[in-house]
Amino acid sequence: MGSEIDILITEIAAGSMESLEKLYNLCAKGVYALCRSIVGDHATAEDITQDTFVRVWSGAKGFTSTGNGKAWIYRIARNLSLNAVTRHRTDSLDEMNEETGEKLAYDGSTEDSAVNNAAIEQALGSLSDTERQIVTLHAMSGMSLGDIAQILDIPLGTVKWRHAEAMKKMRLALGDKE
Amino acid sequence: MDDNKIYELINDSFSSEFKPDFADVKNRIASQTSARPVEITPTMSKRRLLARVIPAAAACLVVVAALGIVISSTGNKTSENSASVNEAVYSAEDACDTSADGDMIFDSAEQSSGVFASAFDESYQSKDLDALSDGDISDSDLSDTDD
Repeated sequence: MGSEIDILITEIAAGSMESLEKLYNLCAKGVYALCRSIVGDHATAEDITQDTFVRVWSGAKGFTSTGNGKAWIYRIARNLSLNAVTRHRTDSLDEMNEETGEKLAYDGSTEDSAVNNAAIEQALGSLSDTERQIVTLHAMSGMSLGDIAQILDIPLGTVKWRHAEAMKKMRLALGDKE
Repeated sequence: MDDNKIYELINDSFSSEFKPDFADVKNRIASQTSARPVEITPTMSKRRLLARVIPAAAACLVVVAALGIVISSTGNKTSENSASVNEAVYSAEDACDTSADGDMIFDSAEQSSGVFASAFDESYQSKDLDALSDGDISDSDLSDTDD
């Protein structure tokens, strides 16, 4: 998968819009999840996700293939998200949790998935920023903890430890809901 | 609840929230490309450029030459005037006594004015006094020694 993404980025650098579309279909959800876990707001995360692929298009020529193109894309997404957080200085996670509560009350009677989504969001809200990013990246992109350590720029040991802590918190939070 | 179930729930949660829209990415790229500043290239041909530059350069040369003539004629007149004044002063100095340290000594105001007046008269008898009238010293100024 890693090398496949590297090939796609190389093709994008040569001007292939089809390759960008393939890459988008492969990575957009994972990128969105990472952005969402950082900015906490759906609309902003969606906007940053789209921008990430615009950046991939414009920056592909500067990409050097090392077999880890996925990490390169997620790093762009993470930087854009952190910039957005710095710009807006919003405590959107709290707002998101409040909105989620309202959504649960409204949708819960008609759709089970809405209840699950709300429960997951509340459980993710109980994690620290880094823990949330680790869990989301691992769940959505299927990346190894080693790759995640590279993207988040923290030691692998710390990633493993925080991942374990995060999963404990998630189990606890979701167990309470069930 | 095991880890895989948690991952599945997270995946479902985010997947239901995000609707992929590649057309939007394409539009953003297109608008970014169209917003790129257009490189401005000179459209004026060489002939048109020369036709404008040559008259301007010629006009500049004419102005510079005229300025040069004016400056040089003014310089000649000034040096002539200063030479005549110096000559008059030296004649006045010759006509009076000098002290040990070189200062001129006059018995009275009349004597000093008389000495300078006669010295100027002598030195300017054969000179063109028009040159003096161009400067600050006029003929009447030279003869008016009452003050």
